[in-house]
Amino acid sequence: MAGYESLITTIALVGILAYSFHVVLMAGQLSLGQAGFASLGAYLSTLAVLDTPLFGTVSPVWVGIPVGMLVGASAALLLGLPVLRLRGVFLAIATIAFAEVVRILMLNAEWTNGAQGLRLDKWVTPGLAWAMLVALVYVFWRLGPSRAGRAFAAVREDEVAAGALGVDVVRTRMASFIASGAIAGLYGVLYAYFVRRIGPSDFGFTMMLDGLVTAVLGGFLLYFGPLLGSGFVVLVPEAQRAAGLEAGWIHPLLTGALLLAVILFLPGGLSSLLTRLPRPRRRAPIPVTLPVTATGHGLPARGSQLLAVDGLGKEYGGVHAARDVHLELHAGEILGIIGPNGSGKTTLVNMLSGLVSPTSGRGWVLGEKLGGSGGMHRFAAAGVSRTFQHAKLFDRLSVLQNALVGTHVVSEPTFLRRLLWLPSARHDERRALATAAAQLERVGLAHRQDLSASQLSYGDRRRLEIARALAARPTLLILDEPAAGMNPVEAAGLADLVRELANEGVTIMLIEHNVPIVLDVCTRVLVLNFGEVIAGGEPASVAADPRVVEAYLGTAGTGDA
Amino acid sequence: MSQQLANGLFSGAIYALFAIGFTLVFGILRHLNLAHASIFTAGAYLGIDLVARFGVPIWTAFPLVALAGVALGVVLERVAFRPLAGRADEHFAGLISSVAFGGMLVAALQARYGTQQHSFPVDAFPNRIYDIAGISISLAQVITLTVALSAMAALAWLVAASQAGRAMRAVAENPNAARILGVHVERVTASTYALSSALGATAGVLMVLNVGQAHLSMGLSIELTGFAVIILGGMGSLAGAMLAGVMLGLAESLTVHYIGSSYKDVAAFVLLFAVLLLRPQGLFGTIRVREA
Amino acid sequence: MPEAMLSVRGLHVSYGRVCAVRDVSFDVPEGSLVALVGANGAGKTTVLSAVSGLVRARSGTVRFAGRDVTRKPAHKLVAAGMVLVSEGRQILSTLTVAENLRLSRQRRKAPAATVTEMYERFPALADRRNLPGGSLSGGEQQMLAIARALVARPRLVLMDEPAMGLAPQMVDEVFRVIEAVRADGVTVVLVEQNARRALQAADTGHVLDRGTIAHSAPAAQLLDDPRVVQAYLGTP
Repeated sequence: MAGYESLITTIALVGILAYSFHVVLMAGQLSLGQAGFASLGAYLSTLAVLDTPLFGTVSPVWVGIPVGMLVGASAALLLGLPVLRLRGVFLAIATIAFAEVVRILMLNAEWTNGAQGLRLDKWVTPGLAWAMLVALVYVFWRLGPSRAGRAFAAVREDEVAAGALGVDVVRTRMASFIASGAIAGLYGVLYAYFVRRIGPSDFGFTMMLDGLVTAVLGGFLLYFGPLLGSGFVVLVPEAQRAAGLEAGWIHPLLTGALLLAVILFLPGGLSSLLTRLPRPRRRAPIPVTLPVTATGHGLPARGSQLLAVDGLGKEYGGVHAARDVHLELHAGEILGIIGPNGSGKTTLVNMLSGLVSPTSGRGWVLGEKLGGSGGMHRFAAAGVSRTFQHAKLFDRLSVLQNALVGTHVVSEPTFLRRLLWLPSARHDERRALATAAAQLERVGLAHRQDLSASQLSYGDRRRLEIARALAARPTLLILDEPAAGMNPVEAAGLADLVRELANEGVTIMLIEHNVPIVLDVCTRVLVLNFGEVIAGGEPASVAADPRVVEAYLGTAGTGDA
Repeated sequence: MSQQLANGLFSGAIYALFAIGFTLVFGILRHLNLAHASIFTAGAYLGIDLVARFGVPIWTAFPLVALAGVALGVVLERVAFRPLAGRADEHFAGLISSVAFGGMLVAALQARYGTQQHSFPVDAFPNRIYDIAGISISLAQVITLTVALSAMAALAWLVAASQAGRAMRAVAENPNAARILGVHVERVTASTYALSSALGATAGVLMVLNVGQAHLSMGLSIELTGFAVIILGGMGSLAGAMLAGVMLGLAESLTVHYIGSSYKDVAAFVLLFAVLLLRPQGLFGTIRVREA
Repeated sequence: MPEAMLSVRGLHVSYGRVCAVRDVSFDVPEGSLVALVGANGAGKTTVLSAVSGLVRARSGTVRFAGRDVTRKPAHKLVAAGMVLVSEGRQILSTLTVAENLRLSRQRRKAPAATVTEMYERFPALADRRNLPGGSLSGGEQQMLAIARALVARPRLVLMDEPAMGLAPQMVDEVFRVIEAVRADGVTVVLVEQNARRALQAADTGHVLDRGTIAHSAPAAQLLDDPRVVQAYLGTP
């Protein structure tokens, strides 16, 4: 039994370590400094943990746990402030370097006893380790279908689209970073008081690899991935020993082969295997047909001014993508924007939705000043919702999940209340679900809601993106080439939808190459060429404008123009 | 003091040789190849094996190890990177698959050579010490500098002036444009890994020559140093990696001299942090890594 | 009748589940200039990408100079004498002008003389041969893109939107070069949004609409065809 006790505890500890990687990977951050957080958490907790049980019976590690978590979280916050500006491998390298610096400092400090390490008492029992792991599994289980959990997934899948739907990307990344630090700190304390001896080399590159491998093997798309990964990583060498394969090189070889196989053939990790099993059919969400604006912020009165920009321009290295644009928009309008390829249409709406800052001119949209600090989420919160020229969907999320992210700005945070099973959280989630489902119904995707977004056809991807934008109950909806790739029947359906939304009071900007649709549904049309507005007005007059025909077909040669 | 600087120069040359292999792959293909350190380790063991077991003279061992590096690089690209091409999570997955490949390679070394340290036989090369202007330099150090410098010079020529180098730079900037001009992008990718691994494996032999032993975890510490070098030099910049490698070697020696050997790595990482935060494109590089 | 330089039959291309090009067939006789015109998103670039081996056709065949090249990779087609001057010019901005030109000299047989010849043809490039490609103006970059293609001594040049984003004067210059290339006996397929200009230069025109060929006719005839306008602007 004694042998098994160690094994059982190890599974729990490796699982906890893996969660500290899981929480950053699920938000798409390649942060690998957990060994540093764990080291700081472990060493500093030794200053707080007494040699004797508390109140005669309680394990003193209960003091160490909050200390370790707090230390880990604070270290993550302090490290995150500068390094979270980095992306991808640069973030990975910076965080690995942080862990290495911590290791060297601990190696050279007096109070840590250097390379000798510290001898500690054993205060962590298998029960305690498993209680902590179960608590983490519970937290991540409750996090998944909450507003915060969806924000994590959205940031991982596509930061720009997440921002456009009102998710504060910077805060979300920082939250995952701090959580990772806290969990790593927890791991450090538990490890210290289980193994009874810590040295700086325990928190090195190898520990980073173990945690990363476990998290990836288990899969970071599902909440129980680390648990599964840990069971696997710890039990494989056991099985190998039981099979009589004792040589030391077999274990790393097996782990490597397994990891390679998983990343090549099963990118979702081992946990994704379980989702392939037939599941009991989920009860379909109540098909509530909420009007787009049933709740949430009320729409401005028809005719009131929503947007005014003056002399707006954007220059990329000497090239004027847009120049000197003056534009006003009033509630209830359907404004069409047309123009040939490269005429600056997308640049214009990127500025109006806060994705890029103008290099000249000024203006405001729904009370938000253009070019201020903060990203797109500010504009989304004010009521701007948009789609992209190349549909930016959250590909690994289901159709319904995509639409649910859309409700971010019109729903309340639910994660903490979900932890406590408060009925109000369930009520809020139901409402978000109803909003999302209603918009899916509206664009005709209700029957596809359980597919993953990557499985949709092109036209359906476009429709899903519109439904997702509508789930935010926007005041101003910007559609960037929604009909691209749609067949004529689908395009006609789109035109009907745009009219219907306008009737409900949503103001719409429609960028489209399909000129007939624009002339058909819009109340006003703007024509761009070479970044400048070359014509504007009623659809009929714009269509008759020779400059428009010329912009589209080009001029004839100088010989006979 | 000048003795310290000379020693720093020799280890710096090895860092530079290791790091240019690292940065070559990143610069051209945007892959962070974490198996590079394992190939370095494999080069070290192979070099010792060739000399100790097969009696190959040390000068012949270098090209043979480089050839083995080429073979390992081709296999690495084939197994760990090519299957991921075009996948949405290509860069993350490549990082993981290279970790996996590296782990398997080290496991294979353990199977073949065991866990004990290995070193060159005492008679592999004469233990001669030269005295130049009061600085004593061993034959091993002379070999190190010669091999490292010639390998780097060859690479610099190859990239700057040969048709293969032009193709590599074209792929680095725009694989699609290279393809329409008739560049066989897949072959360039494979050759990049081959070249990078040849350099890494050679650096492994030089390391043994300098520190005396090879052990299974020798890749871990140079991997971290390699990160520091490529960040300092600017990710993807070959000249930057060479300069930064030497700088780091010197900085280490100076830290050892003035502060103490236990802090020798801190200098590298403090520099690394400062550069990442203040000048993330590196001292000599140009790649943008931060959001605007 | 001799076989056409390029012959496309029943070409289908899809990106994932999106069908971008459906059942496209056309012939390009040797020495001719054929224009593919149509609105944005009609599938013009996709047709060129499939013909030049950059994307894989789902079905259909492409024959070039009498050989089936349907699934040949791009670099083999360049060696065989088919080059693409792609949309957006794709100049390698960190390589010098000279390096850009020499890059496409894949076969060692193509002598250094071809590069010299290009400098004679495009004097602006000769002056800037040691400057990085990125330092050229848009028009010069387009010239470099064309020169770079011609260094490979092609029999067929596919040009994708060579006039895009250029000032009217430069557009004239580009079309003069295209006609000169053609006068040398090189077969040209030209994709343009600037339909009027392209049809003026071409022998034959094909109008693409939503991934299929809607009309084919001698170019002069298409110039006055209201259906061309319709393919761009639709019927209001």
